[in-house]
Amino acid sequence: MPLSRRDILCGVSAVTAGLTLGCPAEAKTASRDEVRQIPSTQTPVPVIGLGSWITFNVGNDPGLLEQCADVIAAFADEGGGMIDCSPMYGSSPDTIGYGLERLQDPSAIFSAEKVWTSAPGEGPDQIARSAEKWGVQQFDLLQVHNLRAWEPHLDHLFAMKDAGRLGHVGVTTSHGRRHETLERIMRDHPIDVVQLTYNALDREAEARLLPLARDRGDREPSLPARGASGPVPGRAAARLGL
Amino acid sequence: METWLSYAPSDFLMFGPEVYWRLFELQNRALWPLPVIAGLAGLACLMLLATQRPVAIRSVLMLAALACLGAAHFLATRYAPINWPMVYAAWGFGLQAVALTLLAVIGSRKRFDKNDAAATATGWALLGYATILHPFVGLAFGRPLAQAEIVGITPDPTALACLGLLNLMLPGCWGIACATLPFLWCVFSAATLLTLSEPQGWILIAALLLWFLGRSTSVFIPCGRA
Repeated sequence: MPLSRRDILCGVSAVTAGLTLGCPAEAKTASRDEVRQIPSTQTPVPVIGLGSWITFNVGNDPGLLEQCADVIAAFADEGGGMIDCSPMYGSSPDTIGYGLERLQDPSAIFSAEKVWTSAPGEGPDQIARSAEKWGVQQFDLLQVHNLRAWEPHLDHLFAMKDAGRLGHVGVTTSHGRRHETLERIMRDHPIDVVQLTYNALDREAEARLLPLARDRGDREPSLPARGASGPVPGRAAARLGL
Repeated sequence: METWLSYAPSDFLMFGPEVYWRLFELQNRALWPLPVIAGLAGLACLMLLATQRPVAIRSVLMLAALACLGAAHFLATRYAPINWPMVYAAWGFGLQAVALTLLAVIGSRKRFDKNDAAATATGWALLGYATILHPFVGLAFGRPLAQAEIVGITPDPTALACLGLLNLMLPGCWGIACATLPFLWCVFSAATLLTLSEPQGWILIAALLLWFLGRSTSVFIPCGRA
């Protein structure tokens, strides 16, 4: 019998949890009501999120736009919360906006966008364009994508948060890159969320980044670690073996 | 730099194969019946070229320039929304249209049957493939005819037709210079297709090898004699 993606993912999470916590490996499927709180704001976020890289980049194809809108509607109906995107993802922000427009209550979605430009001066305009594409007044989370020009962008994001125009501030890396810089940012800046590579094939984050996130979350508590598919508070990360 | 070197081609791929192939279906549907007219115009170009009359050759070059504009339109309106660098590729095809127009106005008036045999043979082969076979190649890979890529409507067959035409019309280094943009496009498109795990990319690689074979004996012809 061929294994489904769900079977493989359940098996992988069981193995990962067992290795990390030293407890018996037991597959656990997240329930539709399972949520975690972002420590800095206590904002609850369902553990199952929706990414949009490649899959929602469908251009102006009306048929595929409908399909994506159906996915977003099903995601919301099943209790999903966070949708993640980036200006780098082609037409994905437009597709998300198209899907959110169909929802009865789009405010239930935790909107996670990124700022992605090497020119710091372009950041505010890019963020405004992204908000327009999503059809939202402001984002729940904005992250500096792949640490690109992260210092000036972080300054701007913190200013937006202080002004009440942004819920949370974060930074991201991908493909397991620049973990040293990420660690430095986590130590030196009061960011709310980090996004990093962590999966069965790349567990480097277990060595320093996840413990750091857990420590920061316990001490301040202000810094959750974020897995590939959703924000997970630092202490919960250890609990889940993420 | 070290970080950049750690990226793979798949890291830059922003879309999946279904989205990519549907671009052609949407374009064919939006421009209907222009794809049929463009296909017939391609066949007419082959016949015009066979006459080797100067006015026919100029007409074909002008039609090729128009075809490049059609490809640029596809890139700007269909491809760029899912792959933003295609805006620059659209400008590249626009530039190619200008080059072909200049060639039509001031270019070679000589008969090309006196050209290098390899360049002529590969030129006809590339033109024939681009105009006649390429629209149907998707059928071999299980895609519907509605997603046919047609010269003058989409970039791959248009670039291949340009390479073939330039092999016929312009041997030597000027021909290579004029073929730079369609050559680079074919390399990029082949890389995209192969990264999408689409075997059609190998057809483009084969076509580029054919073009190179046709050019291999004429590449050392001085520009002044071309």
